[in-house]
Amino acid sequence: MKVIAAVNGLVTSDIAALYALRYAALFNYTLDLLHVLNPTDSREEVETSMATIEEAAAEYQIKTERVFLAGEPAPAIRAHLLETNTDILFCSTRMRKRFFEDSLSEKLTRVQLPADLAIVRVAHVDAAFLSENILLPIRGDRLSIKKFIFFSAMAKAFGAGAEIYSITTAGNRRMARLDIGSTKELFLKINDRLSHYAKNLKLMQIPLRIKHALAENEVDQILHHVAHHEFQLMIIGGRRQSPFARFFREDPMARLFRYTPVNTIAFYAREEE
Amino acid sequence: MQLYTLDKDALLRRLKTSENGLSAAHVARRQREFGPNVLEQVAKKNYLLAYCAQYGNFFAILLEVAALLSFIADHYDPGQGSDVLGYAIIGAVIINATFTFWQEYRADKAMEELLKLIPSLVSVKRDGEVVQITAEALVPGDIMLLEEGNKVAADGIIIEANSLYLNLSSLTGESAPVARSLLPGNAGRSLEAKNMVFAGTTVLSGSGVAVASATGNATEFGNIASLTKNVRKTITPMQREIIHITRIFTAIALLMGCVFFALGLFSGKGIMLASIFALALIVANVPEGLLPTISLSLSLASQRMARHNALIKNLDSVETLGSATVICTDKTGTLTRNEMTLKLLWLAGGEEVSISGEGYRDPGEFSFDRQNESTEHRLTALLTAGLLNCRARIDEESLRGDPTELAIVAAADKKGIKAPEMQKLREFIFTSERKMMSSVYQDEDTIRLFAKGAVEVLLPKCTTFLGDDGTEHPLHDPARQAALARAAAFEDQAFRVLLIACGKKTEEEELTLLGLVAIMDLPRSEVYEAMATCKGAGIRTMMITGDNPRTAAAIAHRIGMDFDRVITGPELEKLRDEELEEILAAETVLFARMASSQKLRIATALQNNGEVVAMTGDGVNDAPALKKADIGIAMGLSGTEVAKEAADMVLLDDNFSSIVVAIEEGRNVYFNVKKFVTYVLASNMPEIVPYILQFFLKIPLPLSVIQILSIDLGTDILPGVALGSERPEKNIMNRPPVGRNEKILDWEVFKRGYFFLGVIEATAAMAAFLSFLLLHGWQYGTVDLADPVLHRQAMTMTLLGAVSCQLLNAWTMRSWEFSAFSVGIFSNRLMLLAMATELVWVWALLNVAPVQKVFNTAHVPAHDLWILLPFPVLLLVSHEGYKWLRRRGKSLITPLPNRG
Repeated sequence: MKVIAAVNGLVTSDIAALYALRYAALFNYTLDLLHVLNPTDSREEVETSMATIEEAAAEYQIKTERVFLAGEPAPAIRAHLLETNTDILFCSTRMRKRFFEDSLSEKLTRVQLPADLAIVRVAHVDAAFLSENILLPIRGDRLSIKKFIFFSAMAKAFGAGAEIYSITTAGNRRMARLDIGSTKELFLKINDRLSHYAKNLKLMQIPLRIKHALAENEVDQILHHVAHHEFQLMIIGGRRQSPFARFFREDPMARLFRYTPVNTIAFYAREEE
Repeated sequence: MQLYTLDKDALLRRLKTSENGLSAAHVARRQREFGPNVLEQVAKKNYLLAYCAQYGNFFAILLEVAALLSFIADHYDPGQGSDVLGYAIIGAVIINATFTFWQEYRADKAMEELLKLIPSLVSVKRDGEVVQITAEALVPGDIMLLEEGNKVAADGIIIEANSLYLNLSSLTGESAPVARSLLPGNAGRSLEAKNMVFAGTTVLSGSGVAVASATGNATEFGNIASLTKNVRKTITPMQREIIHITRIFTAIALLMGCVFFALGLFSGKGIMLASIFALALIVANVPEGLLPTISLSLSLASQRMARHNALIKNLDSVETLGSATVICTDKTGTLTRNEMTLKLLWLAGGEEVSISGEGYRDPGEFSFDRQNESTEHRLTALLTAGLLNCRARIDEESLRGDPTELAIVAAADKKGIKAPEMQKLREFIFTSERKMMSSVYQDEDTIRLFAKGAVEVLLPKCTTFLGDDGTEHPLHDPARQAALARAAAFEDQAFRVLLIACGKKTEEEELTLLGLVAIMDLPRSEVYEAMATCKGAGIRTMMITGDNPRTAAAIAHRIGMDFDRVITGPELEKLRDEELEEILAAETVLFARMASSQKLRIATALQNNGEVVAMTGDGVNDAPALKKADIGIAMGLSGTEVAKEAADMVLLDDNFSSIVVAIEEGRNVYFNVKKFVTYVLASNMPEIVPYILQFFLKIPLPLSVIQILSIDLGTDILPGVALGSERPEKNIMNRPPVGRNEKILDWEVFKRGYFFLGVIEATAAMAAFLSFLLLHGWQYGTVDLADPVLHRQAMTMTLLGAVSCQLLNAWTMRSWEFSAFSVGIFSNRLMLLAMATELVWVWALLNVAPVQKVFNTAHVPAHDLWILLPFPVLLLVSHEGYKWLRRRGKSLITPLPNRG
């Protein structure tokens, strides 16, 4: 199996590749450093980046391969993934959006890929080297097995403490109705539904905290929580949206992804054929 | 590995930059990758939409439907005044919506104040050139040039430093200059690294070069901004109460409207008549004036609080104050005077001297044993030595200098000591490492050195001491131990202890011990009583201070603040949230050595335990906690603008006792709202009953819908507001805080309002109506009166029946538990004004033609008005009797809950 990191010579793609490296090291997979040739990126810088990552990979005794592709990036990557037995593709994203020009990561979220996709938003350059606390915010008790596995793998790869932050959205009126007792009852139910995940992390010897919040706006609540605690990495579930839907309505997670103060990975599970 | 731990080369390599800075091409790409260096702004609230939303709540929709039905009725049956009714209802909706919106319209200025701390332009090196760019264009990897007076625009790691000092108060709350260096020191996290600069801080002196490592929201300052912006307040008790009241009234109004609409249809009245009937009942059930009255009442309460130095920014917080169960307070300046006072002196000869008077300007007396003639001389020598070694100055207009030095200067002033004329040769400055300072003078031909500092530092430098005979003696071990023992005793009483010595050399050696001074920031005199009031009111008080545990505990004991344990900042760091909640549920904690950022955790844990938290703060980094607390209280004198904007209340005098006064006012508001809700409910009955009776009995219509609105939006408003201005009841601070689940609209309010006072008022209204008709020849069974004037006169009597009862209802409602006559006739002038206005209004209803036209009233001869007299008197007497029976039936002072 392979883990692929898309490299373009920028600091952010280096960081994404470092996350890919830690993931690959956990499963002892080969790390492919992939670049799609284009006029914007300097080949020299790309190769320097690759060399730096290879140097780091050597410390983990991970096999690396350089892959250069040509053509339209998203289809080229998809074709490459179809040819290789790839578990996951890591790719950094840019912060500033251009109205008519989607980034590679945005394009990748819209094509059907035969591998999982991890889009990395870099806020801190050094957090990829030292991640002591990893956060997974979820809505209520909604946590897919695939997302959980990726989350626990990253926690294990960094030897980090894990926190599942369950947010129940509630309007003013619902909040007014909830007293302390019924709120605690609600949270206990969520804990109960997440208990098998908790057991799993215990088996993997990953320290876990499950925290809860009642909030009117989940993104505000997550941003507040992240600002208040020391997290170095946050993992969120990515949601594929058609360009048409995105034109009319911004996904709340997209806002979170844009304004996060910590490095964040949006995880897109591969779509079943 | 953290960036700040890397050496310069590794750091530059990691950030893919160089000492010459980034190239233009790299900058452009990084701006795309990392985004602009801006803090995420709060999405601008659309106030137009927010205002429009006010027309979509239950109350408003009910009334809007009622207005629509009125216009439909007017269309099919014009000339009956239904259109006027429609307009009146719309007026009521607009008034309600505007008042509610006004309450919600609280622009979040805390973010604006935060943004002021970020510069607009910064100097950076790019492509080897120094250029000025906008702060927004800064990217990680940029080389920032820092000069004295600059504001820092991003977090960065220092690669060059030249006596660089920063003001980090926006992050740490401490305004003392902080030295920056090339090495991180023993830092556990970036905020502690000495080689880092941070966005939102200022360069106080020196210069330096730093590599930007984080921008925008990823900076430490971005964290504070994010906390400040994204902290959501839990719903206030008043908001919850309004939702509760609205829901109940809406349900009653809809239910009655539907029932009578169905009855109307089945009894063959026709759909039009049944609709109008249902509409009238809905209007009668909805207390249209309630929300404006609550708003006005809260606004008046906030004005009263401002007179007690508590400036309310968020009207809903007024009532929340009444529910406060915990006050988390700072120590310095809030519980204490924030003025160091020299209270005790120990002379090296062994005598102890105490000094009266507090603060820098109070006069004071020196108390000591005057049998030894040399004592006075040695005391003067010690204070003169202290005075000559201080930079602080006290003059009539200003105080300048360090608080500890000011305390010494003030003590010398009290003794009438002036600094002798001597030439100052040099000064050994105070540093936190040296823990002492000295000044060298030339007194004619003699060199004089005066030193003060920490006992453990200065005592080893002393070789002699000034004995009780006024001469110098060698400082042997027993004398040394005596000084140490006395210093320890002072420190045990939370005094800051300094040793004063003098010498004859230009260096700090071979000194003569003169004595010790014990200095303390004394508690404010009002705090003792305020603390006792809090205990009586069932409010826990917790101190959160940056001071050491010993000083904090000593001050707490001195002012009578109870606590079960002390938790320090580092200890808090190790506690999990659940553990902290458990501790706070069972124990009252004194928090010492705390960083401001930890306040938010304490507030959250207390709130999770169901407590209503009032939290004080003054720094930028207090803003999140102030926003999170149920009542954030900023310090008006020492507080930053950010803290003031984030708070719900600003203490103009920074005084703890003002919080307690505000809490009393908050409790008062709760009970006053209860009083006027009961008052308003009572008038609903005489509005509803006439319609029900007219439905079942063969009588003319006793009250028109416009007359109902004249009560709800006219005669009830001013007395309602006056009830909201009543003074606190005498037992108000002897009961526990208003519970989160304690409702204003409870069964007692319903019982008194609807079924007791309301029934009397409904009886009064119907009795006045029917008696008047019977006296004027009406016979039961005649529904349509031939004489429209007689009908209007009779309806006027119904209206007056209700209004006259409400007049005395307002008076008797002035106290919830005690006799209305015990609160003083002139103690609430607004009530007298309201009653006078109501009488004028009654006169206008009877005599002023335009008023009569709008409100369907007519002149009633004075000899017919006697019918109205018995019922208001009955209401007054019976309600006073009811309160008397309640007082007899139970103790008024509810026992305080026992906190295990």
